[in-house]
This record gives sequence, structure tokens and C-alpha cells, in this order.
Amino acid sequence: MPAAPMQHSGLNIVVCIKQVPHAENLIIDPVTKTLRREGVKAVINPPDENATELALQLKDKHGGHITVITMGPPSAISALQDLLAKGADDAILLSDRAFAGADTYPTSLTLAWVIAMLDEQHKVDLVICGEETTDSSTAHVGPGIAEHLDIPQATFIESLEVDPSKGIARAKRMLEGAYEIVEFPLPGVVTASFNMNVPRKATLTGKVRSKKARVPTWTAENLQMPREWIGLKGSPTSVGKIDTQESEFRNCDLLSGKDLEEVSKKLVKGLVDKGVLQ
Amino acid sequence: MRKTKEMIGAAPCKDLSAYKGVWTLAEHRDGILKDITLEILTPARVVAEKLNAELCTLLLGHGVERFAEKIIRHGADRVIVVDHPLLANYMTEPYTDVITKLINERKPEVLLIGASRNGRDVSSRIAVRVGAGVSADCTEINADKEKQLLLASRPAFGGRQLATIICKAHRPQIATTRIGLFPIPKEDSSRKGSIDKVSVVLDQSNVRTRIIESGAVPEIPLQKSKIIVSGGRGMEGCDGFKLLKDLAEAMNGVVGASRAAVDAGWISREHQVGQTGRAVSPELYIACGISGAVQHVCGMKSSKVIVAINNDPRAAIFKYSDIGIVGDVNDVLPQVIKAVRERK
Repeated sequence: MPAAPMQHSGLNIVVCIKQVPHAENLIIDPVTKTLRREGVKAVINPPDENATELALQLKDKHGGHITVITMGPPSAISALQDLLAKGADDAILLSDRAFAGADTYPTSLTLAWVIAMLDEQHKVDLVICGEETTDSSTAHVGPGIAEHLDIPQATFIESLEVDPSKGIARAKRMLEGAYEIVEFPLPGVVTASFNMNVPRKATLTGKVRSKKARVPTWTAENLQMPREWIGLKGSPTSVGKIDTQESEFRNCDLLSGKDLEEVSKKLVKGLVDKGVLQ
Repeated sequence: MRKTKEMIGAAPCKDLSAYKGVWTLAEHRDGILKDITLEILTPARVVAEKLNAELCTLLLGHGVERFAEKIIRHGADRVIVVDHPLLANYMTEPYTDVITKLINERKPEVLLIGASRNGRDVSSRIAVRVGAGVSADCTEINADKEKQLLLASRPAFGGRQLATIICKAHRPQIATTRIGLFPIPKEDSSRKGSIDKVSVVLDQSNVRTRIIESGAVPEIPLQKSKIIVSGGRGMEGCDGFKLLKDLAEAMNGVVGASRAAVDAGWISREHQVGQTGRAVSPELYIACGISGAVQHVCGMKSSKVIVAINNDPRAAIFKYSDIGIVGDVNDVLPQVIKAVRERK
């Protein structure tokens, strides 16, 4: 367990991130009809990049301290180093086989537990998560953390302003066909919309600094959480079965020909014949 | 933090036999009932039949009782109406407070909530507060009669696999269901049901996250449109999207986009189809300059007819398409637009 962090002024922010497979590169192999995984690199879950940028912007404006945490395999340390290079102050990797297989309940419980530990050392003002992960797409971990800690939340936000002197935050939430401006007292949890800002690039000095930085790994033993609360054991849900779906490949009728006008007419006729174009 | 780590913990196991009934949550905004409220009655009815249980909808709001009869006509056996000014529009805390109170009092075995943004906002909070599991954004809902279990299925990464999630030892079994996917059950004007009015005591102290202002945002009717003309990286810029707009107009459709095009700033995010955008299943989907990455395909592969236009004959998108044209979109599209306009 590291020593208590230095006391600091401004906002004390915790950002929760996850490393995910790079979705843009995932292709179904036309021959084997399975997900082609080789060469697919792990990246920071894209909305978590926006969450970190939001934290950095708040720190630029108000000063403060940013701790980035993630639960994952030892290799997830590279994601934390990337964010240290961008300006995060501290990072903690939560890594232990006992954490594996966690659904959103123990995941948010474990993260809430760590945030509570950090809060004991220095009061945490704001927790920022990405709106959802691209590999699980639940959007449940942010609200789960807020409920475990009994603090307010604003999900799917597009902007956030904080008034540290009043201890109030104001966020713009984006919903289906509507927006909302909401206000809540700190501490609270927000979940950052994908693309809400443009994540900055790491500076050269940042990269050098992050290489030197020691990222502590906290295990289940470090956290002193009961084993039955974490990982698979602590998960109310389980995967009953997995069905591989029918191949979604279709027989493509390739319209060929040098004359694009002719080809286009063929296309339109085909669509009218199929009854999908009136 | 209101809670220190000494005050938090795991979900306790419960006496499962005490839990009975299938619940759904109604969603509305500014006095308009959201479609998902009725859509969700379709999977909920399947579960209620299998579990031999009553289907009950929770209707929280202010001045919304008039929706109760409509919900019954579409398939609910019972509607629990909770009317309070603080419930007029969805807010995390009063909704969580009221729903968890009702769960603790009446003990439903299943709770289905639409996987809208507010549906996800509230479902995780409810699950943690009552100590239950939740399966997110399910596309198939069923039940195991013998084991009295909800079977909540959702696409696993890439959409190639469907994972069925179960919750053995905790109640209620909570799942959110994808919006715009399940059909609205037919209205039956002769259907009768019960309406329970429940009063609650709430004041501002129940609300930490308050709504200061709200408004409408023009929504791209991606999920309602019968024809979608989508562009990706191969569109090469905003000019390419002008062509798509022209084609969409000529076909009375709307413009969609892959994430690559949204990330490049050629079109706004509301148009995005795919895993981090919207899942759509129109009559006709035309993919222009889209390579066919899993993250896009999983959001459009259930379209009735798929057309691909791409200059790379090996692009994966052709494998998912019924009709393909190999060619540069900037050459092909003007001709397609012309042919569509002259089709009559």
C-alpha cells in the first residue's frame, strides 16, 4: 500500500478506465467465420479517453490531482502509463485472479472500495468513468459506483462545469431526442460521452515521466475485501450458455460492368424488384 | 462519500420463493409515452406466461395516470401508478427510491427496463441498492419454467455469439432490453386490468441531481427509417456525405455513418450506426465506402436488403451484402442518384 498522497488543493479526481480490444480492427474471418483476434491490439476504451481528458481539463482550470484506476490483467499497466503521460498524477492497477469473471456488481463494488480507500487519505471530489465500454456495453459501472458510495450521478454527459468553492457540479446530459442540464453537490460520479472532447496527445516530457513512474498493483489481499464479494464469486449474474449465431454472410450479387450508368440502373431495378424501393 | 468502505458490501442471497411477478418500467418524457414502454410488454408477456406470473407495469410520473389504460390494452395485467410532482420527469434518485421501495414491499421475481439512457442510469442503481444482478441491453428474453429463471440474452463481442445471462440466487432478476427491437403488442380495447395507485412521500432532500433545464434535440430517425444510406471512411470527406444526403433524399431515407466517418468529423454522431452508435434494421441499407468492421456490421446486419458500394473488391462488407458494386463511391453515387430519380 503506498503512502498517503500529498495533500493538494483543487479537485481530487478519480478516473476509472478499462482496456478493451480495438473494435475498429475486428473482422469476422470469411473462411473460418470466427472473430479474427490476432493482431488486434488492446486500447483504452474510447469513452475512457474522453473521461480522462475531462479530468485533465478540470485540473487545468481548477488545479488538483488525478488518479487513474483500472481493474484488469497485468498488461493493462500500459493503458495507465499512457494516461500518466498525458498528465494524470497517479495510477493504480487492480490486478488479481480473484477479480476475474466479475459482472458489473463486484466490478463497481471493487472500484467503489478503492475510491473509498483513497477518500480516507484525501477527500475525493469527483469520479469520472466512460459512458460504457465497447466490449461489454453495459453503462452500469458508473451508476454502480455511485450507488455503492451513496453519492449523486450524472450519466452520458457532454459537458461538465465544477464550482469547487460551492462544491457543486453542473452537467449537460444527452438523452434520446433530448438534453438536460443537471446540477448536483460534490462528491459525485459522472460518465463521459464518447467524443465529448478531443483527448490530448501525450507530451514528450510526459512520456519520459510516465516511463519512470511506478504504478502500484493492488491485489485482493491489499484491498482486504472478502473473497466472496469479488470476481466471479461476487457476481449475481452468470453466463448460462453461449450460442454461436447463424452465419450472417449473404450471397452477394456483384453488379459489374464498365458503364456505371448501366450498373446503377440495374441496382435500382433490383431494389424495386425486391420491394424495398418504391 | 456518504458511505465508507465499512458500509458497503456484496449482494445478499435471498429467499427466492418470496418473489413473484414480472414487472416492467414505463418511460415517458414531457407528457409523451415512450414506445419502449409498450415494446417491452412483448418479451415481458413471454416471461409472464412461462413463469405463470402476473405482468405488472410501474408507471411513475405526475399526471400520467391516463397512460395506465393504454398500457393495459397493450398487454399489462396491472399498472402501479405512483404520482408525485418530483416524479414528473425521470431523475435518478427519486426513481431509484420509489422503485426499490416497491420492490422491497412487493417482491417481483423479474424486472424489465428499456435500455434507454435513463433506463441504464436507473437499472444499475436499483440493482446495487436491492442487491441483485442486471443484464444490459438484451436482444432476446425468455424464461426457464422449471428453474423459474429469467433467460436474458445479449450479443457478445462482435455479435457472433449470443450469451444468455442468468441470475440464480438474487431477486429480482433485472434486465434492460434494447429499444426499437421488440414489436409493440397489438392494442386490444376489450382488455381489462387493475390499476393500483400508490402514494409516496418525497421531498427535495430525495433529489441530489436536479434538472435545471431541458429541451428537445432533433433526433435523426435512424431506427424508424425504412431506408438508410450510410457512409464510411471511403467517402473521403464532407463532399462525399453531400452525395449521400442527395441519395437519401431521392429515396426518402436518412443518412447513416460508420464510426470512422464520425471520428473524422464528416458527420455528427447522431448518425452513427454500430456498436457505439445505433442498431438499425431497415428495409434497405446502403453501405458506401464502409469496410465492414464488426463494430459497424453488428449494428446493421439484420437489415432486410443490404447494398455495398466499395472500391476494394475484398472488403468484408460485400460478404454481408445482397447486392454489391465495386467502384469509387464518388463515381458510382452520382449515377445511382440519377437512376433513382429517373426510376419512374
